[in-house]
Amino acid sequence: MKELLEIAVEQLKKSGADYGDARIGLYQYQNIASRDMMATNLSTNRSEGIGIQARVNTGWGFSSTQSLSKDGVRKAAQRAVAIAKASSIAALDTPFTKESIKTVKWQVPFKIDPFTIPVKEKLDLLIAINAKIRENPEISRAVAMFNFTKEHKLFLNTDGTHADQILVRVDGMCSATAVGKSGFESRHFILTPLNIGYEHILDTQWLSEAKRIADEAVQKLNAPSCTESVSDLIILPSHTCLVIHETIGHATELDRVKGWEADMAGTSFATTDKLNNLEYGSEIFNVVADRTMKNGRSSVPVDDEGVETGQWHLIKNGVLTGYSTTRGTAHYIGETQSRGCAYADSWSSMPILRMPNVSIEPGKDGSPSLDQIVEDTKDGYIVDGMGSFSIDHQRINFQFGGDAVWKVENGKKTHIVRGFTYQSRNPLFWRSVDAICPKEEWRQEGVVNCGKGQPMQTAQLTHGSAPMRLRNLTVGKARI
Amino acid sequence: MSIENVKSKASQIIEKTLAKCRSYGADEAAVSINGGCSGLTRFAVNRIIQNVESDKHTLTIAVSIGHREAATTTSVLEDDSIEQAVKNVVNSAKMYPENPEHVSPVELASIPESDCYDSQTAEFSQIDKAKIIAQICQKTDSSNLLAYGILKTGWKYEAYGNSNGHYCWHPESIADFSLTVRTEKGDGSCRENRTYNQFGKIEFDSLIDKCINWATLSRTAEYIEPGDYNVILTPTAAMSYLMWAFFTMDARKVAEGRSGLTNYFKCDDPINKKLFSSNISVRSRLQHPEYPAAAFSSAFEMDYGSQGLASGLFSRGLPVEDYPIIQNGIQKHLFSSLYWARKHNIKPRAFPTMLEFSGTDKSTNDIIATTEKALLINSFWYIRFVDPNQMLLTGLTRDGVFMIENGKIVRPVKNLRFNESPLQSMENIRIVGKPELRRSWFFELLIPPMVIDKFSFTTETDAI
Repeated sequence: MKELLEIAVEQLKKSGADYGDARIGLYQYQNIASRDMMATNLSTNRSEGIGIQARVNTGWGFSSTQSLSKDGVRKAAQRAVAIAKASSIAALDTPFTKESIKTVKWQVPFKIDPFTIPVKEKLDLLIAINAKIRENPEISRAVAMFNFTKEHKLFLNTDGTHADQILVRVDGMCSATAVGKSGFESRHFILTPLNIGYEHILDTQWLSEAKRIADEAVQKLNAPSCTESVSDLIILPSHTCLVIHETIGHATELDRVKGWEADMAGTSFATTDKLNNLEYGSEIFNVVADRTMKNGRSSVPVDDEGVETGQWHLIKNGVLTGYSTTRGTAHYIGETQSRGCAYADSWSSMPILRMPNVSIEPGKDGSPSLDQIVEDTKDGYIVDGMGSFSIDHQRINFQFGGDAVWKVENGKKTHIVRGFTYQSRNPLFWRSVDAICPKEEWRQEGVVNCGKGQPMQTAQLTHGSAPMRLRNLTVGKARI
Repeated sequence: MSIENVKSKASQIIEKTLAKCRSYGADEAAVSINGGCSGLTRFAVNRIIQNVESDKHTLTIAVSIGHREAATTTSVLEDDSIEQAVKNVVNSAKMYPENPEHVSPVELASIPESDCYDSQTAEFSQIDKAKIIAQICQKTDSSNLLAYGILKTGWKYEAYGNSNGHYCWHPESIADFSLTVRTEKGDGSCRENRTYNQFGKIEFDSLIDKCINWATLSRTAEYIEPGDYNVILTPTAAMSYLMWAFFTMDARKVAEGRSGLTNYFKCDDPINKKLFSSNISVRSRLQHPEYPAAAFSSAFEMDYGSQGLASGLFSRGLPVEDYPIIQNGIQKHLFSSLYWARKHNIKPRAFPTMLEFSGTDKSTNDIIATTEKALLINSFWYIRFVDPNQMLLTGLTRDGVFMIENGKIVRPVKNLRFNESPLQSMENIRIVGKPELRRSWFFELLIPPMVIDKFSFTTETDAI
């Protein structure tokens, strides 16, 4: 494979590219699913090919092929350069950072390769999960699913950086649906999506989680509806994950901030004139971007532009302090090195700026625990899991629900409510954080289906946080 | 490679793959090969920022042994790799337990080839696209405005065959244009998007002019109190909102109490019930003379975790039929998966490839001219479920909201968040205009601009 990369890079130079890179992707997927003790899916996927990008003057060109022959690779490199030349008649002139040259060979640390585990063993577990959910007589539908991925990416650019990286990804879920006179409600358990081995499946108490979600689905169906109020929210990491993603991760993508996504994904309220002066959150609020996080879904030593990845603050003591950047966007904030946020979801996709793993730091030692926060809350809600979610195209106005939400009254967690939503806006939302639990309660969660770009690409990220409380938010406006 | 060569090669791969499936012991098999070649040029702040060409072909194989089934997908299409993929998928099926909801593949049927392929569109060059974009950007630049968007051309295809001897082929050329025009200060914006099979159908001049005019008009938008308003939806806005209603119209979901349609209307059997405004009629359309779409589709339940890839492929290849879904507000038919249809001895109803709304000859401007007071909505953004029981959705307006009074646009309005059910909105459609083609994620729609009464907005945003 290295030889093919070298042929591509040699052809890029020969054809006149000022910069270029070639990326071979060898992808393997497996999805296994069951519903109501029936095996509903066993599918595998193999996808292999090479993507080549070239820069000529200021124009970019990208071409891909699944023909991994020497001739196929040369032709794709020539096409990339020809397209770059076509683009240069009206191309955006963006300085491209110079990066250090490196050679990296790396793979995700894991104990058990998920592709070595027999299908039957995986399926037996899924069916046992279905059966445990259906033990509850009020449940009429149980679904369970595992996903396994192995991505082998081989990269070489005209600078000389060579990276050979293997990612192993594991995720899974189960859900219970209760149907009754008042309609239907579902409750989910989402296994934190991580880059890890099959041990992640084995280390999870699936059957106790299955029983719990079945009981909670029934409680949800029979729960009173959420009423309109101004209340405190106690948000758990399983919920905060998506809020971080939508309200901070996307808002601090520098390509979006500068308008490159204006036609589709949108722009951002967190414009560069606000760097180092926007009060994004309260003083105890710190947010870190990190593509080196252990088991992080976007963790990798070298990004898809050949840049070494790292860790940095997006928000420090409540103030906006950074953005995610690529080689073509770093100059917008006066930086001379990319933060390593280029990612392509396939060999056939051109790398674009994607948010890294973005996490909220835990509270300092001695911060209140979740139990203490609940005890200290007179009128509020505990929000667990992902429910409805929607945010405007500049990441200001948003409305979220949860998968399960409990009412807190006079310091006690009481009952589940149905149809819960809250409505808020950036940056008022994060300014209302008044308590974050300490590191003992900090957890990784993740998003595996983040769409961005034209053509659309899917990114996968980890977002960690500890339970936290936000004061005086508007709840329950969404109703017919 | 010409499209005829692609057709011939795809047909050979399907035939060979089906033969291999038989020889490795599969009782039944279905094979699909799809792919294509396209070039997409992307621009922002009046300059080109990306130029991407893609050439990709994927083979999907589903097999069953008795009721045991498995599926695999591969982009590696050499003979020995396909043989290995077949061997692996047959072995997987042998290991897998029986699926009680297994369906045999679709029976042999005659599928006409739709006229969706235009060679000029398929072969449009990257250089010519760059020139068109340069012209658009010059025009916006000279108006002190900024252009963002994409121009994509190319072709795609699907060839499908199964062990019942059923074979389908659908080639399609693609011309996709999207344009957002924003003011330099970022205080005004308008977007338009069109996707056709023929490049020549893209109305560049009128789309560019509209984006320039509405972006300029939308500056200094004013706050209005969120609440219930009568709205005029453009076809784009109506498409992105109303298409959600059709996912409730599944026979199995209705029977099992998991459909928002029956929960919202509190009726167990919606067929032949007058649920919606008399102004709404929608049909699954086969072979529209001006806007043809694929003549085959899938009959599967569109719900999370319902069916796997093998069932999906065995349920593919059903002929699209022309039939009413809603007629003058009366629900006439539901979609029905192949499994559900065979279990209950009813006709399977494939998901349409084209949904056609009936309309009148009124344009959006004609509707504006006869409206006393309403909000004009250009498009919606980030629509998601709030409560599937009531089909309650939330989302926001984007790229142009205007107050209409006495037949005229009187002022731009700040963007708003709605919480509303398209089922309720379909009860409240008062006026429909002339249908236009729009393409959703799932199917094409011929959908008119329309007036919907009492549309509920809950919050406002400063986003522009």
